[in-house]
Amino acid sequence: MRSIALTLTLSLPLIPAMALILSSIWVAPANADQYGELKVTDIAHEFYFTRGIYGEELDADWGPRWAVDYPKADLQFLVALKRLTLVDGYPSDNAIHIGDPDLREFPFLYVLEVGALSMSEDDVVALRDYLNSGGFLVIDDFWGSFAWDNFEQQMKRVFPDRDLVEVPLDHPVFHAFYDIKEIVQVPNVHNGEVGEQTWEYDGKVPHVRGLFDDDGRLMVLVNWNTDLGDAWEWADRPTYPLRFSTYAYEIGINFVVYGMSY
Amino acid sequence: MNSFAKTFFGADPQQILAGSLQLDIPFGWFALILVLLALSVVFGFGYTKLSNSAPSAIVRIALVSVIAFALFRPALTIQSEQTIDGETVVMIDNSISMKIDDGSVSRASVVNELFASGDILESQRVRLVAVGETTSEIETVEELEFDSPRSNLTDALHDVVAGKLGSDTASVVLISDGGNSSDRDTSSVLRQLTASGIAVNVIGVGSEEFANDIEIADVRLTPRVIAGDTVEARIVIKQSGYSGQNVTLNVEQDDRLISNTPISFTDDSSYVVTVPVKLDEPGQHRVSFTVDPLSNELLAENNSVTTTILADDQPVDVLHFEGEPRFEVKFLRRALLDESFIRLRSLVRTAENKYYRIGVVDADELKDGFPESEEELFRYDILVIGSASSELLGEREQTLIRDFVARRGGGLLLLGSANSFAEGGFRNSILADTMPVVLTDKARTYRNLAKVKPAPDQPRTLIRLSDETWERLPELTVVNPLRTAKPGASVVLEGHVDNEEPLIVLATHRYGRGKVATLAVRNSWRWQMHADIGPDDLSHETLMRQITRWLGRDIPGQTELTVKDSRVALGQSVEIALRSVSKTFESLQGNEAYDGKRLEVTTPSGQIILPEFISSSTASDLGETSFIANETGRYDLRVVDDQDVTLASDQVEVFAAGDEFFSAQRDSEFLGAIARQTGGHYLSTADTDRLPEIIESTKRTEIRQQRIEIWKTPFMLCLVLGLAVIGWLLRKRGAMA
Repeated sequence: MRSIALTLTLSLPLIPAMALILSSIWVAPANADQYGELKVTDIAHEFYFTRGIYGEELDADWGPRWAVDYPKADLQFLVALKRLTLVDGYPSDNAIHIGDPDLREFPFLYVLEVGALSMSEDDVVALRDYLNSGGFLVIDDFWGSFAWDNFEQQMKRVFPDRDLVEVPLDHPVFHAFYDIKEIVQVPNVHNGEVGEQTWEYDGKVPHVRGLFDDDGRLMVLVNWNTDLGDAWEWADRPTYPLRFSTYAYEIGINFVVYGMSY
Repeated sequence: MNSFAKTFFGADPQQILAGSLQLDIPFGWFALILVLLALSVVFGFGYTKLSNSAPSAIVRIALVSVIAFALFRPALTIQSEQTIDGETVVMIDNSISMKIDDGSVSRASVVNELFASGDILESQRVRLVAVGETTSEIETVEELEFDSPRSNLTDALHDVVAGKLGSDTASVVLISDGGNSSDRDTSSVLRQLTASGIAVNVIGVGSEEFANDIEIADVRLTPRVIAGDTVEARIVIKQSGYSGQNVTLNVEQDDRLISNTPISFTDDSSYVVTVPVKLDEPGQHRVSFTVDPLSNELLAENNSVTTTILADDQPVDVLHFEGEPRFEVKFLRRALLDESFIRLRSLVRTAENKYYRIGVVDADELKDGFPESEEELFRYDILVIGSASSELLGEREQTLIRDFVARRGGGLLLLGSANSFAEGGFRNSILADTMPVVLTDKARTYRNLAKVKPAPDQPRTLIRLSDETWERLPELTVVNPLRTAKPGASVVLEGHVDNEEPLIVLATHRYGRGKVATLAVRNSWRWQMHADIGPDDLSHETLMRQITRWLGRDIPGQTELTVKDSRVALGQSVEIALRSVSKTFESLQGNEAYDGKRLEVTTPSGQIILPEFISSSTASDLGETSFIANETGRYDLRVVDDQDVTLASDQVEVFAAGDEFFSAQRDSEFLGAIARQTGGHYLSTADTDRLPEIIESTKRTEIRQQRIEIWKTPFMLCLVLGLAVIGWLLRKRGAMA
């Protein structure tokens, strides 16, 4: 029952080992045919890394935008979560449409590539109810002011009276498991491996912004101008810089622990 | 025969037969017998030779023997019962209930009439006593005012036993309606009276039945709640003579009507009504329950009961411990967010030996994980244990938790999970002993969604949700199939799974000084997040808040101030007890309980009085004190330490009248028992002309020893003379022959 300061021992030295473990995960290449609801119906675990499905549009190269990095990023993150924490996580992916009533079974939701997010009115209502009821939404992997404007506009539909604001570094979300001392811009796999630039479009400065409820509870956590999902997905590649994947896993685990506690 | 014995011995035959004979023999029984034999032989033989007459010889021997016997000064010691010519203590109920008019005349008038003629006790030495809150001697019945708010009959009878009403009491006459406010054990006092030989003759006044009356016979309302609580008041209403009529029970809180419940009287004499009472504002509240009097009602004063309830706003410290991250942490925090009195700390074990602390007040609080000492754990009022197996909570932690409940008086909530109850390895553990449920074998594979509903035939006082709400609430996951509650435990909520015996979802009981609740569901948060639940639905909040409030109610602090009576009448003594414990809630003995502490009582008019504590004669860890409530209204009580820091506080509401108008019919059963058990008589007012005779026959008696010198008695003289005369006649007849 004695507490030991394990922050370092649980982080940096373990990440290369994690990369080795993660590299053993085989993930079938994504194709348009396989995309659809893969939601879990038999809820046996405490935590489900739930990816939100939105829109119908398919990218010619990448499939639907909601499925970027899917499912490998999710699976590799879950391996790290299990290895580093006591979270009883479901070890597989769980994708569900944000308008699906069953989303409410999963209080943690991950959505990315929201630069092109377009929600129906039903989706807006469903997302509002989800967040008001206690759901926690993590946004990732969208870059530049154009994408921000779109996302902010969509969130204004959900909460017209609430603004997305900067989350200060002394906020509990940055200290729930690891102590995050700076916001790092995590590049996509290409930029990370080339090593020349970490940004995309005009998104040179990474931000963690949030949308709070009346009680100061963080409902939506927005990772803008950064790509945590790529770092999770490509952490097993030796050429992807360790410091980015380490940061991505650390802050991702903080999001989970915080989301289960506040 | 009796008169013969009295004349010749001065005692009854029974006394003589039961008596013991003593002889003044200087040289022992054997020598006496030898001397008697020798004398008999000498005189008998010699005389036979002379007279040749056997009868004469026998008579002569008998005479000599009697005289010789008398020379040894024979005496008989007997016991005799003698009536004590002492005082008759006449106790008259001086309480306000004696003013009740049972029909045509009040009980007080009946008493005055009894003494008006002046002859019922004129032959006795009488000591008149008025019995009310206290017992006081009076010269005449005209001094009785019948205004005491209480009638402590048993205390008055005890004063007789204790000799406070004279040392030569021969008998007692008690005139009362039987209303007894005393807390003293009546049976014990009656046994002492019987042992002292003092009979109590009782004259009962008043009617045994009221023809037309409605009475608030009982009100059950917890005296202390947490501000914001809704509690249920249980009211018993009795009626006679109003079958078929409708009345309304009005409930007022601080003079504001909060509910009115219609009641239709049928042929039943007793009705039970439950009314919710919500206490939002902190502080003392007056709650009144009133049924408006109907026409011809005998007694209107018993149609209303006012009681007080304290809504506490003291902070309640809650520690929620989870052995792994769980959404229950988040949703319990959300549910209790608006409960401003709750200071919730969440301690989540996020990795092996790594804890996430939420809500701690400083960097040191819970820094080593689960509290390791009583001092550390006992600072909390409520402990919530979630997913934590018996491997994580070992014997030391479980002992701490048990003592936290049993000794500290804390509240314990155990949540369901794969690491809880039997599934967590707690069967036959220390923690299992604290639980209100019986743990059986592990059920590792059990996982079912259960429809949660209130247990049938149980009062829904703990969790109050509407029937419609229970129907629409989603199922919750159960992984701990609990089926059996321990004796004395309450099953509040059940879980229903198709074709299965109901599961115990929420069970409660008291354990030692504290309370324990088990909420055996894995995901209570489903009542918050499920798609069928609107974001504004407060069912989950209500569930968790009401459990927490129940656990947090009446949690003892280190200094406890207890006021004996919830309803105090004007003129009544307010009895106060103070109990103090150490930081680990060990009792402080003797004057340690109140050393360095001062009681300040602020009267309704603003005066401050400082009653001093003394050690209790009944409990070694209590300090006791009292004061007389001389004003109606609210008395504020505050215990402070040397630094004037308030350690405990309470309030007392003093009412003009006590309970004298409730159950005010003559209690013949009680009065008759007093008379019967002490050897007295129970009389009605119509039989009082027999009272002098009864008093005389029941006066106290004493057993005294009496020594009768046989050799001085007329019997002995007559015997000697008789034998001498017989001998003379025999000789004379022999001479003539």
